Amino acid sequence: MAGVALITGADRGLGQALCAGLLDRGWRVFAGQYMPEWPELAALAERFPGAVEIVPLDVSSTESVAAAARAVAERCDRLDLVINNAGINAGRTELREGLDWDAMHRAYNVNALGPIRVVEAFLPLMAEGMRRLAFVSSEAGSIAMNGRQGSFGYCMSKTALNMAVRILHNELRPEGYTFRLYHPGWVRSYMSGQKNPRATLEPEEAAACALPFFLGDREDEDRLVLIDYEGREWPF
Amino acid sequence: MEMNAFVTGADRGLGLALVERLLEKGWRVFAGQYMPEWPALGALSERYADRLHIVPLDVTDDASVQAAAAAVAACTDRVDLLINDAGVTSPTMQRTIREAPDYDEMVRMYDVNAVGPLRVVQAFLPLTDQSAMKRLCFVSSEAGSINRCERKGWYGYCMSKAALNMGVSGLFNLLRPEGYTFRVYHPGWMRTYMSGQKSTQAELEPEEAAVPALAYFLRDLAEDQHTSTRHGADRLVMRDWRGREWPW
Repeated sequence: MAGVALITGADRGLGQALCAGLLDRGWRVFAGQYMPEWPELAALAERFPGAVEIVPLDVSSTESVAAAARAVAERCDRLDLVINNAGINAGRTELREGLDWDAMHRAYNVNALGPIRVVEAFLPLMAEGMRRLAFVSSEAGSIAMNGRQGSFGYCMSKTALNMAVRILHNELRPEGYTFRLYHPGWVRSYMSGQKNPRATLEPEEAAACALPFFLGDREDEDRLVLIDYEGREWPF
Repeated sequence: MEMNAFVTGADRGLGLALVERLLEKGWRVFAGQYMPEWPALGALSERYADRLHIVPLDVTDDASVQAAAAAVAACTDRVDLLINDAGVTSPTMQRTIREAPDYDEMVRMYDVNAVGPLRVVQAFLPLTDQSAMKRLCFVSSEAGSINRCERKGWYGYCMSKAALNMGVSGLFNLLRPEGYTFRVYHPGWMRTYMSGQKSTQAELEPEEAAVPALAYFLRDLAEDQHTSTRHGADRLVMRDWRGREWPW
């Protein structure tokens, strides 16, 4: 069944590929645009005229998220799926070289607080839809499996995101909302500003793994789990 | 040999009680002071003028943290025990997703509770590197356990403590092979001032809570002997005041 989705961080990388994947499946997509100067979203809008609508969206700004929700509400009265995809890296990662506190705060604001802002603002539109909330998290948020000696800011932002999703789950699951918390793998995306050529998955490959999980059914919706692109569960 | 401790958030509550017990045990204590107008630390320094050093400290301000480390370094070249106790809650933190969560307060709690300890550990590394004990302690909370979280609302506080636990995990991976030892601790629900006013509902007085906390912070554990983190010889755990482990 095709529905209506909002995707944050849709400009490029995984967000862009998720947009294209949903459009291929016949969905109507509101694409959160952070970088109007980046050309790919406009190209996608030409490929799928009428099906994709670009919405300016900076998830680090409560005002921007509220404005985006108003803009979407003017154009539709039902949202089925919100994919919280927007994410950034967190600067210098080595403790003994001096951590970049401002970059850590930016990562927290985008990666952990951004999805809460988006859920808060778009919740009224979701009441009539399939009530599916998806979050692109990371294995980097798993404390139990953490082997890193650095990347403090990024890891902490993703752990905090996982906690936020857990609390959202506690609040909204009784209302019938269902949750997808996801590690997409190491994607050749632009999270550091430039496309990462060392990573293992093209965004299109990563989206092809992610969408069946975001759209499909799960046996036990009452238990929140972090699942990766190969279907493996990651402990918190 | 005289042992040196640095305690953040020492003005009152658990931090103050930890300072007092360390002094009773003969430690030299550098006490991070955030509220110079609060009288308890000053009163304590009259009793322990030779061993209690009050150091101005705002863990959200990198310059303040570095100045505190410099002030301690002027008195000693070694800190054996670092207790990251400073923490805040917020009067708006219980808001649910439909009650307009307070994002500014979430940022503030992250800054104090999660980033603050990293600022302190980073700034004090030259001093803790000189110690044989190298003990880093973190007052965390069961509220940071994602696995056990049953709360609705409380976003910013729970996220800050989960993030703290992750931050300590990175420190553990980096510093455990150098001989550092770690304690991540849930002190119980205390009658402290974390929200600005003293809680009257909680289970424990801070003086009671400081007893098992300090016992855990100071006790050497069998796993402390293994500097390797491989093969489970040592792993980071969060324990509460009854000794129970909490899952992440």
